[in-house]
Amino acid sequence: MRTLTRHEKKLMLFLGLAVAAGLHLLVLKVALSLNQGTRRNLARVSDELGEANSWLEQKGEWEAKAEWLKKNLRPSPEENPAPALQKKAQSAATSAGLKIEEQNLLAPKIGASCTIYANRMRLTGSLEQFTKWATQLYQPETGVALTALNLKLSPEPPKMTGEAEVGQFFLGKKQ
Amino acid sequence: MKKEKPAVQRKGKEKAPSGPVFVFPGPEGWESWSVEGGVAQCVGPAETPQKLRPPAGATVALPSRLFFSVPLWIPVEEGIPARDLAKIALESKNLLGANPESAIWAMEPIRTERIARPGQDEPGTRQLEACVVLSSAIEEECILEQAGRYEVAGRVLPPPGGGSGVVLRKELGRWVLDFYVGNKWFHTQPLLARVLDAGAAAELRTLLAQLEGEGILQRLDLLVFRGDEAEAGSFLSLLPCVSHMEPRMSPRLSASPWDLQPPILTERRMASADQAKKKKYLRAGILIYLGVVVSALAYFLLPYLQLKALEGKLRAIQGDAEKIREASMAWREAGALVNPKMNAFELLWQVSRPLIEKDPGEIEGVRLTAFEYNAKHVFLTGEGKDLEQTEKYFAWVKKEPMLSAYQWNHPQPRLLPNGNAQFQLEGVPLGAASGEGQEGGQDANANAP
Repeated sequence: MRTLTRHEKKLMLFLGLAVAAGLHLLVLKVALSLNQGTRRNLARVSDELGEANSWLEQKGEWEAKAEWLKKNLRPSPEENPAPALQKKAQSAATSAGLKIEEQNLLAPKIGASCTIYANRMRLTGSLEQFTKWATQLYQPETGVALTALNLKLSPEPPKMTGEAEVGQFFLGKKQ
Repeated sequence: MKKEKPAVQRKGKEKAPSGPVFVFPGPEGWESWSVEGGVAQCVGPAETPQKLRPPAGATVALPSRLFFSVPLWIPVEEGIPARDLAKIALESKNLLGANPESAIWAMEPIRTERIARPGQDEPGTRQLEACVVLSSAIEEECILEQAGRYEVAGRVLPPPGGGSGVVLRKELGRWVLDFYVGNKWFHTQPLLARVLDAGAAAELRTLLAQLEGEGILQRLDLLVFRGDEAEAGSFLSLLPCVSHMEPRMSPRLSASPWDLQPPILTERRMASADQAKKKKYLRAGILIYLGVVVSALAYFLLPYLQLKALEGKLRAIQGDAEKIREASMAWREAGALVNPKMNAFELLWQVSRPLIEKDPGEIEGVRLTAFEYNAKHVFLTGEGKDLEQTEKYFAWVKKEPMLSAYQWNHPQPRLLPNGNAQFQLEGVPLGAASGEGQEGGQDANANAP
């Protein structure tokens, strides 16, 4: 094999430098791409950590609330509690002087921590009657509250028509 | 004559010399001479100077085979430097080679004398110069890059003393004569004879006669033999002059030392300086490259390490945080039951309060015509007597702390034919406002009682 001339050696050097530069650029591109991903992950994890820390700062408050729910909400009974709830809502409406136009039981809503049995009612009456009815119904110790209310002035004011959902909360999680 | 202490042959690890170091052509080989603690030390003999591993700045004493010793008579001419005349004389003897400018040579005036000039009444003056021309074919083994000076061996040896004298010594297996006058070296002549016998004595006599004939050596006062007594034998008795034996002397630099650096050494030094410069640049380049690589690695690794550290921290608290988040979700789910800010009638009371109460600041001429509340939103429909009152009501709703669990939005109120402004106002729970799926610390605040 013959020895390379000076010119050929110079060309080989340039070729080597070009290949090295190309490899460096390639490595740099890959590294930058990885770095971008890492920095994105870093921002995400940093946010998650901040959020987790913020939850931990409120640990006492939320633990007390969780404890309250555990203590005051009853577990879902074996028997469907909806008819009893309907009866209670109906009786309260009657006693408040509201006229029940329509009512029907809703399918239980199973949430992450609560199960809600609800009764939808269509009522007419004055605002005072609605207020009296809601006050009678609202019973945190038994888990009963209005979960939805839609009040409108009826064509004959001050009468109002209202659609309400009376719900009873029980402990229970989505499976 | 002052006798110096005899040289000591030493082996083993060398100590740092206190004086100059000489690489000297000894009788049997190359020697390294130095002074340690005031005592002359000799290391060797070695086949080559390199094997002695002399320190940087050592003086290499040139053996007679590596230079031409030419005592020259130079006429003393006013205005013409003696060196120029000596150069002409050396060139005429063809001693400076093909390129006299690059020849390495040195000279030293020895003595002057007046001479009659043919065709002129006034006598002229001539000067004897001790000239040395470095041989162009210097042996590779004698080229020491670390050497500080190249001197003639005879010039680094102490003269025999007195007027004119000759020192007979053995140099690298060959007998050599060093000529001195008035303590100045002026010539070195190797003998052809290998053994000191009658033939050698005859050769010496011829040489003395030749030098005397040329007027270089006027008379010989003393011949000193510095060598092995056994080798001298009866040789000294055969000589036509006073002679005696002396032990070998340690070399030392003369008052006006020469430096006959071989040109190849200068070239090599320049080449190695050039190489060193290139190496320096290369090293600096590599260092910069490594610096850039290390910086890049730090730049790329730092976020990765931070990520790993944060992931570790997050893993440690994630379980607890998730439990608390679930508790908040449960509280939010039961908002209608447990959170007054999300209770239907509490909300109805709060949104109606400024319209029916005197405190804080009654908003006149605004009435609600519909109120819709469910888990997703609170939706109010109403009428105001004008836009100003309606806007006032919007502002009040948005500022009321008891309504702060919702984010309130409204389209532009619609003007009715009677001049009233019909409006709609929607409140979306804060956690749900930023997106159904998004949950977090803000939810907690939204759900806070």
